Amino acid sequence: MPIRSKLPAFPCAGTQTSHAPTRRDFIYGLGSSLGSVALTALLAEEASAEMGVSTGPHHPARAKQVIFLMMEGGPSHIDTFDPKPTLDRRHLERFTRKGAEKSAMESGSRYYVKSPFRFRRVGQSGADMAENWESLATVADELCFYRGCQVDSVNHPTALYQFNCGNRFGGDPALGSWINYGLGRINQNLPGFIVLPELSYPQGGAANWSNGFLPARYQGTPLRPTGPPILDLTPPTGVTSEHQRRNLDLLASLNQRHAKNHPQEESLRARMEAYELAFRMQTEVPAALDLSTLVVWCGEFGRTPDNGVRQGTAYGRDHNPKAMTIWLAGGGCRAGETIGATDELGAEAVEEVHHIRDLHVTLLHLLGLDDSRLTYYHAGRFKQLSQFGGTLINGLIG
Amino acid sequence: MLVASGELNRTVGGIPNRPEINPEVAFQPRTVMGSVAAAWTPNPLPQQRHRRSLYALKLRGLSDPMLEVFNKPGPDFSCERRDTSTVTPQVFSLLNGKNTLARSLALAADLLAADAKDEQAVDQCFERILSRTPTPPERAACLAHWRDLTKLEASVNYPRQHLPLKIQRTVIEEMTGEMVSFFEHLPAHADFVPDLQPADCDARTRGLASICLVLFNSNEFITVD
Repeated sequence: MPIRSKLPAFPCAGTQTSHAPTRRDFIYGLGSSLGSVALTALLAEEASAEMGVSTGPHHPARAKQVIFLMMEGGPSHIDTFDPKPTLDRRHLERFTRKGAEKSAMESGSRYYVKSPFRFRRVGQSGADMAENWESLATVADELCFYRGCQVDSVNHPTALYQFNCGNRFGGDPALGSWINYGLGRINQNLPGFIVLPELSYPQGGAANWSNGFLPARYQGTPLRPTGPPILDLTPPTGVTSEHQRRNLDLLASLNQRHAKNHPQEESLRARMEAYELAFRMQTEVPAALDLSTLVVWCGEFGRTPDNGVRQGTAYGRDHNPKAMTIWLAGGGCRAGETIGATDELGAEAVEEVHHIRDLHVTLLHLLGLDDSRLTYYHAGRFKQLSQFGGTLINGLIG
Repeated sequence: MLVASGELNRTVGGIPNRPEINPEVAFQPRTVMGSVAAAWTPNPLPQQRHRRSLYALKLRGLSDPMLEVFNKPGPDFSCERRDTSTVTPQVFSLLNGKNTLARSLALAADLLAADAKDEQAVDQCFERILSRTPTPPERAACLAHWRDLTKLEASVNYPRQHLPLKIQRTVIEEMTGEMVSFFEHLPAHADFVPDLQPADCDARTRGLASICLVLFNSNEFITVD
């Protein structure tokens, strides 16, 4: 418990930032479970009269928690997990896109561009990987590569929203919020949906992990990469722990009188407890998690086999919503297989082709949730992650 | 809170205003196509900032975290009634956030400017925040708290806080994956007139502000009877 001992007894108190726990300490304190949807279930259940309380899984779950690795920016499948020898032969061959194939980012002449990276086959399963993947190659047989996914948008923010929240227009609940809504076993006070953003927030900002129209307790908690991991975790400079403790004692005595006059109001008690819990938050280490974890690696879209020449020298790749590679591991997925395929150039998925909504339906399914039953009444209709329903991608399920 | 502290600007309509938000969020780099979005810059004058949240500028990619933890409705649909939730980040925001502290100091300074006696000041705190007078035990508890806190506060030296005129920003470069740092200049901060800060107030005012802060955090203030 060396890391635990570094944490202050009162996480809200203390004035020295050097004592503020880092994001790493904080996560460690949560049982090293990133994005753990099961975290909420580790604490005692708490009755709640509030609307929209989750009801638990619809069927036995294969996965109990998810680590969703969103590689913001649209990693090129052609340069990572989906080699295209044809492009080596046609490197710098010039061509024109016509009509509907024209890119929104059209910039004069276009060229086919080969990958600058060498590929090799790794693991017993012979998975395709660029040479740059050193560590990942050692676990290749645990991964399920999926080459059939397609999305609707060529723009980063809208594609990110669609991947993270199901809807190209920001404002819908994120995948993690839906899962918490479906599975959270109700102690609403600890984050069950944790977000680890990089230094700069992704395009589209915090709406990528918002609870949307779901209640705020399903909102993603971003743990900040620098400084205190949670906003306002520490009191203003100069406020000591003694000061805070006295304020809290006065608050407790005032609240107790108020609660006596409103004995039936469960939410008041929950609010009082939230204040004490806030102090304990990092010092409580939940039991270690031995539950199966589903890992998903993806970007918001793939890349094209071609591009215009940028500044005369750089051969980039254009945004491509029609082809990408996603990999999944654990949580009831197939292992050591590659599902689906893109065409000869990597321009478009041609086998096991599914819209992103079907991937969402499949992820929920692995977690024991039925997308068509995981609904929330908002703005006149029952809404769901897939928007209007989708189908399972059976090929991904082990 | 702005009503209780007497700071609310009741102007109706007009150009959206830019209140102060949590500085970590205001300065959080956000990627926009090929670049980084500018930092959130609050309006320079307190009366410009202290309006109903209805009139605050809403950016999709950057929302006020304090409103967010209290179920801020999204910009896409009309919202007939907010959901209610009780989540721990609300505690952090209300108890430790700059906003509640600034309102508490403003209210405490306002009450003491009228040269009120201690009992009167505590009574007025309750009236302004909870619309009632305290019971005798509450009054006694608050007076004792005020005395203790004033003693505690007398030994604390608060630094005066300024908004920075430039901030260093570090991002990961899109094409190379390398960390890149640069300075963003924020000349608008030169005209910024801050809210009342702990450094502006004596220990007695800060002690009374502690009572205000506690009342702003009480169930009676937050929930509707």
